[in-house]
Amino acid sequence: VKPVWVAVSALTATGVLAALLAWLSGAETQIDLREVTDASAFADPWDAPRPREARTSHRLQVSFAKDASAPAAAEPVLDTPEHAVDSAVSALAAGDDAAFVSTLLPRIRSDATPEAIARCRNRVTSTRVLPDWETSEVATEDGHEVRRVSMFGKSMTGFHHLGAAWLADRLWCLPTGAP
Amino acid sequence: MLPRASTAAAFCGALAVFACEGEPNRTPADASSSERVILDAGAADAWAADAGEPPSALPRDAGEARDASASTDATTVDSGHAPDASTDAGAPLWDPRSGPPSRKGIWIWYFQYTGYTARDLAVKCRDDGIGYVLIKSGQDGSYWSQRYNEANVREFTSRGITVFAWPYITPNNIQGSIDATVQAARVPGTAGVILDVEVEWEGSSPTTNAQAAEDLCNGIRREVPNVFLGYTSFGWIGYHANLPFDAFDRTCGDVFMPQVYWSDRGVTWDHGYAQAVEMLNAANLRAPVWMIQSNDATPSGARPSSADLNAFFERAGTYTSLWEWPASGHQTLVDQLPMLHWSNP
Repeated sequence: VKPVWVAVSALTATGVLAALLAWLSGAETQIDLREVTDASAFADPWDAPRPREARTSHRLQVSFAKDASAPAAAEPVLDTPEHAVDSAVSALAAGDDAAFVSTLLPRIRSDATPEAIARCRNRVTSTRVLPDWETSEVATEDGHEVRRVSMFGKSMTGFHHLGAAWLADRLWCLPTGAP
Repeated sequence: MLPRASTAAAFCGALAVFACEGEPNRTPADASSSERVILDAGAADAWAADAGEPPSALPRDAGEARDASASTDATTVDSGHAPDASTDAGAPLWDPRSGPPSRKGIWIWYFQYTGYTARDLAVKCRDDGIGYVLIKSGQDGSYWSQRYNEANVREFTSRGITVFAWPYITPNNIQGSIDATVQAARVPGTAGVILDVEVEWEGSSPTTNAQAAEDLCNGIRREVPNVFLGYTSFGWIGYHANLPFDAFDRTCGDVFMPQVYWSDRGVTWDHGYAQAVEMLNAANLRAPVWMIQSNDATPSGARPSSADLNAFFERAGTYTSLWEWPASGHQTLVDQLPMLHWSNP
């Protein structure tokens, strides 16, 4: 009986301690869940969540955190190219395909097949989207403003200012021209 | 120029070694090589990354085979823009025309993206064992002097790391691109320039943008006669018949760096490598080949393992490089870098 009692006590104490820690740092718990969610898709055991990373995962959360003004996925905010990208990423992350498609120019929306959107979702959830806004270029096309930016270091994506919205002219979340 | 048959033979030799020597030196990564398509997390590698040592007997890589042939071609290579030879590390700086580097390389988009300053990134590269870096210097007619400049280049060269500039160039503004590239090439410490030419160069036929390619390369060489001038583009060139590879090969062919991004494509590293070599062989290009692999995730979101990245490094040879230095916040990827086998045997 004694070993069983010891084991039960230890487990209980561990659970209480874990619950207490979770309660004391609720944000950290959420962060860890996010990281586990991301890492669960990794094929590399080395990339799987590790205790050391769990303790320091606030860095990831800070890095991945969106601008406070970032729009919710349900209602894309397209008033600037930056917000258009944030909206697209949020929509993909939230699984809101329609919201994502609404961030694209109408003429390329047919490119956004379910398969393409699935690949986009995988990409934006496994890779940080940090467009090089500093070197973006502004031009005028057909009477409207276009801001071109490199999304992943190479080909430029144009964001066209049509009406009140800035819409992307490429399915920027897929590799261009590959393989 | 070396006869095409010799170049082809060199490639066939590389392929033969690939075929014959691969088996006795199978690494855990090879165990999955029969599967062409990378499966996602459900097919996770059963071995721990970096658990296995690389093959002891390395096959001769395509790059080395091509270099050997290119070295006999006196018309193709200029005398070279000698990089800054002084390094705080005391070791001589690798010159791309002097022979193979002692360590492999990595591509850098821009410093802010990485979360490091140039100095901190150079220190990290040195500590991780990286031998050369390729830093983006501009886009078409824009030269990024605030990013690619003497001070930033020196942070690397002074630590024994060779630096190449890489501008992304489309056919839209050839003269502007020449001017911008020349500015980058003239930054002291620059060992060479690698033009990144991709989808924008694909026309309706192989000749559509061939003249623009020649004008671009010849224009750069006119301004900087001794420049080490190469190019990078798609890794599986057989899928890009209308990209003017021949023109780039003739005029920017100090090196060709195909982007064999097997993880992005979702195939195994060895399938990706073998198919890339097969297509290169068929194209019969002249330039030495330095392959690039990527640490990007697969289409299903899986990250390439360190074991697979190292296996590709071993197979593709001494000049190989990795796209790219990860974005800030991707700590797992940053932590993976020192686990990769940068050092060449």
